[in-house]
Amino acid sequence: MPHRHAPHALWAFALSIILLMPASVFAQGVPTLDVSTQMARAGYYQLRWGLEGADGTLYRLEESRYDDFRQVRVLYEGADRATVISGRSDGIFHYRVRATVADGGHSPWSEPLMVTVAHHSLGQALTLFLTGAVVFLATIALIVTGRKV
Amino acid sequence: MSIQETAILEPGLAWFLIALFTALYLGMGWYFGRRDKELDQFVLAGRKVGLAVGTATAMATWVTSNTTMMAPQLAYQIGLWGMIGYALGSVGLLLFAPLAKRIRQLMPYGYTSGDFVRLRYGPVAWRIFLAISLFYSFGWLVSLGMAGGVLTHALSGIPYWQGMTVILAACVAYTLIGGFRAVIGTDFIQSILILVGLVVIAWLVIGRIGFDDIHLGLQLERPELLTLLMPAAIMFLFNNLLFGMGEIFHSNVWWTRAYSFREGVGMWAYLLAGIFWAPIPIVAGFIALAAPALGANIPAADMVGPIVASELLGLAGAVIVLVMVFAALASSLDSLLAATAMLVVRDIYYRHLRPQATAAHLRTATKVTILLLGIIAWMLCLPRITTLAELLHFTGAFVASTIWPIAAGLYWRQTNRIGASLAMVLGSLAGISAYFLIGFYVGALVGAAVSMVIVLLTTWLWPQSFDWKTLNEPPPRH
Repeated sequence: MPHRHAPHALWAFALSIILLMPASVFAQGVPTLDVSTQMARAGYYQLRWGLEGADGTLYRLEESRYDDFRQVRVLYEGADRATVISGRSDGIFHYRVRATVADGGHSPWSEPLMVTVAHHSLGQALTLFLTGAVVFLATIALIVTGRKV
Repeated sequence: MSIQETAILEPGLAWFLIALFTALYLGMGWYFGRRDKELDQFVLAGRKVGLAVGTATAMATWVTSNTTMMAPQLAYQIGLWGMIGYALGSVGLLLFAPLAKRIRQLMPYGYTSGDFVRLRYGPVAWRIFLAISLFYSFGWLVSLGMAGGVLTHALSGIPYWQGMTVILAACVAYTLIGGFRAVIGTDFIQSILILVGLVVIAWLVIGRIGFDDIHLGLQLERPELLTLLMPAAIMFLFNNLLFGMGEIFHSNVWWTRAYSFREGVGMWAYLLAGIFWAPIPIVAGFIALAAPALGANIPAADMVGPIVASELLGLAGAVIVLVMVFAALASSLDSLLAATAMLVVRDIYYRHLRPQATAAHLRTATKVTILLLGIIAWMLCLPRITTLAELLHFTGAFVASTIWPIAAGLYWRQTNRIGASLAMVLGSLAGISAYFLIGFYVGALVGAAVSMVIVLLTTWLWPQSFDWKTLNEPPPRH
């Protein structure tokens, strides 16, 4: 019959890790991470993060094209609590953030966040562009010829 | 909670600069307005404004926080077309030049844009127009107040609400003291501060980073900002042009100037202002494109201009930006407060509630209204519900729907009151639907297009024969 309980040594190891972790990390919990829109139709969006009651904390924001974050890019490290991403081509992007508190301890990673960039269709854009051009030219024609009417 | 922790200016220095320029504008407000005891002098500067001051006031008023802070925001969000599209805002000034001349000819004793719509299209269209115009005025007022808070927060870390409160209060104070002559007098000084500040910053940015590094930074980090086929940016181009036209064609800010300019001045003042204004958003927007090359973090899109300038140029850059944007803000806030107060007092208070009011009573009512507008704008600014661009473009759907009723009403006898009313209502509804269904970059475009089709159709189907002399209403006997 297999042993269903962890050996005592394992419990002791886990307990010692917990006891040795900086108290501030426990007190402050997991950072939050939000985005202005999860479907970016113009290639830009704002990411905001924070850790409740932790002024002066430093944050590390990572981006990945994979949901398991096997390849990441550090987008920001510092004390700010937001950033604007822009100029992105179509694709799916994953984000997570971690806080480093005053005594050097790290918080756990935030819940991952997924953003999809899907630009409007070029056909729709050109149709509206032409509509705008027609309205503009017609207004000029009205002003130039109007007084004769 | 603050979203930015890395500001360049010491809060003490920022407060000192704000106090210094507030004192300067208050002093100028008192100086310029000290002799204006009559109502016409207080609200229209005696209808004798000349070309130099006329050009400066039109240009300075159109260079707002929206130009100095939103042009960089749009360049940062939608790239090259955002920057160029913003510069097309000058078309509104250029096309208003012939309208200003015609307004002065047709309505030599006019006071507000509401006067024109009332006389041309009757009470229903007039009230629809007033609702649109007041909604827009509040949108613009709130965006200006917000810009004051965003600016001081980005540069010095001063909490948003504190900077917003002080800058709004300063502008309300000197508009109250000096009236319209103070508004256009300070505009002249402010336009010089804005132009000098912008040229110095652009020159320093290009000198410190260079075009090649800026281009490389964008190509690596934000490639879509360089493409000319970004769909949102393509849609934005004519949207912004038509939004600017709608703002200028309908707003009492521009009509009061048309009435206040000496005969023959309006056309040239608006033409010159449009020509001088056009390069400003290009320069301001270009600064934002340097952000990726600098590696600067931009916490909110409307903070990009001040952050890049101060990151790159340090303390001197931050000081120049603060002085310049404060001047740009003040030059627009005072104009908007004065013109909106006049619209409220003449078109709502005088025409609807107190038709027997004396000139002295209306002058006091104008001052009380300026104060109330400031308080309401402050309350609306406090929650900082959205970014500057999104807030202002929300009003775009409404104002663009007035382009055709105003322009056709000034030039075509046949355009009728039902057509004008329908065009404003249905144009606004269509524009606001497009704003929510597609994005902020199409609201004005769709609103203007629907409005134009309705004006054309109704003018063709039910032509009227309007007598232009109706517009020449004699001055009220206060």
